[in-house]
Amino acid sequence: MAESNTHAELEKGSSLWADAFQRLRKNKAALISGAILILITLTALFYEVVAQYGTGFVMEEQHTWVVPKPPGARSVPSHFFELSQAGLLAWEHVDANEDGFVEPNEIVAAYRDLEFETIDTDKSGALSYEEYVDAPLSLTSPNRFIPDCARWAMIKRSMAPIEDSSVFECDAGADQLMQPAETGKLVELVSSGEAQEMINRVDKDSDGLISKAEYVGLPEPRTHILGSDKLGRDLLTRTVYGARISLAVGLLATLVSFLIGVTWGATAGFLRGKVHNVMMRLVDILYGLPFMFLVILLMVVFGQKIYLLFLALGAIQWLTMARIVRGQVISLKNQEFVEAAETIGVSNSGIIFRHLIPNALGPIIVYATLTVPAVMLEEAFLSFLGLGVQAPQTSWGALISEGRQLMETSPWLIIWPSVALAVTLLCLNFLGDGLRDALDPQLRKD
Amino acid sequence: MAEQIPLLELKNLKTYFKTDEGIVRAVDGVSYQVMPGESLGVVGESGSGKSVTQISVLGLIPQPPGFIPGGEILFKGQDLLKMSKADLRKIRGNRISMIWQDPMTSLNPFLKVSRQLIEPLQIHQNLGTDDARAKAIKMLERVGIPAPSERFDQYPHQFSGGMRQRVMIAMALLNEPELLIADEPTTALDVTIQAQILELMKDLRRDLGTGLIIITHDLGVVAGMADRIVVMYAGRIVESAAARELFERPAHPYTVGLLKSVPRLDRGRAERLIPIEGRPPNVSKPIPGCAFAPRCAWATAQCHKEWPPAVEVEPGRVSHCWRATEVFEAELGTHATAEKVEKFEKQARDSHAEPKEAHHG
Amino acid sequence: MTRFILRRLLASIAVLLVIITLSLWLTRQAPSNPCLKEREANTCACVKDNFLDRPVFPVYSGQVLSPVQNCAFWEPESVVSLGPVSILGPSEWGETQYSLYLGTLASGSLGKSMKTDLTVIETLKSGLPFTIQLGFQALLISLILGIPAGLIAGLRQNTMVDYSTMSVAMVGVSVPSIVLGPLMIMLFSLRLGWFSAVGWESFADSILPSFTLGLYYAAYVARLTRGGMLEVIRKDYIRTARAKGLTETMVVMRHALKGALLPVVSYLGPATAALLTGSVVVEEIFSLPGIGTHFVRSALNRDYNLVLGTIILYSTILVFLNMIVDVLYTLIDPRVSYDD
Repeated sequence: MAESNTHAELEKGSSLWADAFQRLRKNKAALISGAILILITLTALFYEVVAQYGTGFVMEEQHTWVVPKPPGARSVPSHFFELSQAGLLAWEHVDANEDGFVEPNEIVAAYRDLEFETIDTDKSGALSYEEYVDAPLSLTSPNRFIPDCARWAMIKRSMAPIEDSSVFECDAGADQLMQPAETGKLVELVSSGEAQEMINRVDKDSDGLISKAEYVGLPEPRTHILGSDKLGRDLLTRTVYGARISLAVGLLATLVSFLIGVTWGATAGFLRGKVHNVMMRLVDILYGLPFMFLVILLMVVFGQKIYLLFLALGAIQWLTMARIVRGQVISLKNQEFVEAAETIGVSNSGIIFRHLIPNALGPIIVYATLTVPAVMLEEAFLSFLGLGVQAPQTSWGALISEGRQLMETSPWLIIWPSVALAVTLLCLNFLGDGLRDALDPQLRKD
Repeated sequence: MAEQIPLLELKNLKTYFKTDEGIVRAVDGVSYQVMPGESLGVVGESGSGKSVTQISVLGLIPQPPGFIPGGEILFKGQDLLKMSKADLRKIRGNRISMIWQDPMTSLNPFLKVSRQLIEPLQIHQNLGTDDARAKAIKMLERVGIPAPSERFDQYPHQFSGGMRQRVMIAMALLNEPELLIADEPTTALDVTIQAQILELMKDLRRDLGTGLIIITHDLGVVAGMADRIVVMYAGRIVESAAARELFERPAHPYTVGLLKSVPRLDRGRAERLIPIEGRPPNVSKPIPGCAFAPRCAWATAQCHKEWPPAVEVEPGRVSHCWRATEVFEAELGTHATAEKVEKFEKQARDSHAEPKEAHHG
Repeated sequence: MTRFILRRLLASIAVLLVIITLSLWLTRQAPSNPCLKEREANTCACVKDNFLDRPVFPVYSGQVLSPVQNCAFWEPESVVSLGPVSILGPSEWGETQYSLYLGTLASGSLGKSMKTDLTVIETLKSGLPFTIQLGFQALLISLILGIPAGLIAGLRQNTMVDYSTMSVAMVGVSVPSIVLGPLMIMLFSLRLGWFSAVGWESFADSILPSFTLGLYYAAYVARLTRGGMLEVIRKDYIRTARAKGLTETMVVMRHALKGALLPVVSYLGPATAALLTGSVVVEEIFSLPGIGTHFVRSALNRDYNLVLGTIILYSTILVFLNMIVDVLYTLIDPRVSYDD
């Protein structure tokens, strides 16, 4: 049976790469993974576009909150925004005291009205219990910090957009409805500080007020699709930016390891003899070193610079690559077509780059694909420990680390970056496995 | 003789494999029988299905992808295919033993030779460790391993290839099986060792009265070993005959080709070898006619269309060839010179206008 | 065999020396001084640091430093020994810092922590039992879960059992501990209340951390075992064993198991390294008082003596476990000779 297959292949004479592609196409998991990875990469690559037209927030944009906002809550973007004069943001409504100027407290009030109207889905002018619990900032507090209505009255003025739904009873009167004045932070979109910033942006005569002539409208609120962190930064935007850093570190570090490993391995494999022995012996010795600790030390000593991060992570990953390349080169060097190249007088470097490397590429590509998740994992570990990517930059590891501090009260902060990291790693592993099966059927385990 | 129950009888055995390219018909309707104490040679190129046939006998075809869609394997009248797994295990290594092609890979490198040798004794004869060891050492001595009690507890990698094959033979014969199947027992060995191993097998077989199936691509091996020979091609038997008759007067063009492609010292330098042109067919597609036709000098239009029935050119001599009688009459055995064979093949080719290169694959 | 172990031992010591040199050199390259703005600022070394572009370190010959108020003795170009205390300038790196550190090591000390009053050895001693228990339990989990899962999947290749086991394993190697740990805390501690979320008081507290650390390796071991089994089960000698009339169980247990587990055994070396690295993260997640936590704290605090001590300890564990794995390998595979 085996013989007849070989004969069939010989007769067809199809190339290694075409065959591999055929096999890869049959592997659904690898294909889907590849598609997801392309999507994630594109999103990360076009973070600026995503921020401007998608989420509406930029990653470092803060909104004054002491606690994170859950998914679905709204903020007023300060970076990319559309001005609106419609509805509650019309001049007539914003200038509530009709003195011809808009002051910060009027802007705050306007946004409160806007948010109240959004939450008040039946437009009755008061919130029913159902409307109250559906509001994005109304969450059941996990540690029950609101024991009675007296204390709640104190707390709600100072902090906590996240309220316990039981406090509805405190704020709703006998009519079981909550009036706009009783909603507290639940409907607060901007602080007076933010309102002042908005005024400063359009205030041409610098009097701290906006006259009707100056008024161009106010920014439309945007939804935090995945919520925000305790500084009011949009989680989705930060996760997309984190993807950029995580993927960049993964790819660049793999590139570094690829360059070192291929150069080292190919040189050793090609030169043979004493040089080869010394080079590979060195690789053996380096295998025994606890590299992650040295990387940590490196980051501590020289500061957590991002280029240092991927250089260091790449520099500890090249050993296996060097071994694989060396093995490939040696086995290929013994094959007849190299002898043929030598006899027709092709130079040594010509043999390496034109003949050996393209043929040894299969296992190397597979290993490189599997190095990317390994490096991303290490970067995530380092950032998680606070030794990797530094603020204002962020990565998935750093986001998970931030989210962990607040996972009791704000689980979304750890869940979404975790999902992003795990899904990416899963896809990379599936793709790597698929490529291995496709490029090296002998290694195939199924 | 005619009244005796055959030791092993295959009736129209088929073993197929499911692959990506379709169903590979590795064995496609093979029938033969082996009488008790008889020795049968199975000859064919690699891929002809000769090994798969024998592995099917022991029920060791990996399933999936392999499966046996039809046929019977009668061991002393009992159909092995219908037997329960437990019953089959009682036969394996006990009443039917096997010697494998590559002694370098057929012994477990992680276990001492002693442990591997006493295993069949322990499971089939319920011998205690000491008895089994004594018996196994005796057998090692008999197969010609020097200082057997010292080498007994060594690992396989400490043995040479020839020595390992001797260990394999010892292991196969420990339970004095009624049938021994040897799958290319000498192919992986040095030429000098080959003869020793064959001689050893011959001696042991005579002493123990064991039936033997020897599988090989090398006609030289079966010449001295087999009473009868079946020739396989593309999963089917193309010719079967008593050994001496097959060598003297082959009745199938493929057998002629095999004979002519083997060098013979006794014919001297003047002897030319005639290789068989082309390659064995791809058996993953059904072949309508004779599978050998594309490579056959004698092939006619009919050969490409219809599988030839068994032609009995002489009592006890069967050939699956439309022109069996012609080939037989031509006397193209080992004594025929290359010139003679070529002359007949040219005649055969000229006698019909059918172009040879049609229906390839 | 003895010669083989001896040779590996010498090689291990050489590797350790390389690590010590490298990490010592690295800490001495730090552009910032560890005690510049800290409470040790009253020590002489820190005061004098303002005149230097490189840090200086007090090196203790195994003895506790008493803070030096009077810095009159300080001379940046030289090593000054003052009873048990030596203070070094950066120019003497080659001859003195190195030899003094090695001397300190040889005297059985790792110096004193730069941030606390404990010696490095005392600090590590307090953390080591936790780290060892955590690593050991995680390894146990990975082997106990991974090997049977891999064997079953390998033996039932291309069945639902195989597919589902391997899918779980694929998820297992893709979910890092920094994701798994918090998830388990959220589920088992916060929601179900079965375990405490942080700290290590009783054995029950070690369960979540051990699983967080071990599950990844269990998945990896399962994949390795399956691969090993698939490779071995196709070998000729397995066919030989079947042809002898052995039952399938005997074939697997006697003939296939050893070969199938070889990849796992050779993975044990890298696995211990990875477990040590991983335990740093897991200790951080669960706020365990192991050496990983000390390592991270000291690295963030720039407590270089403790950092060095931790790296040396980790390396020693790693190098010697690798050696043990090598010896184990030769015991399992008779073909591997001790001679090279």
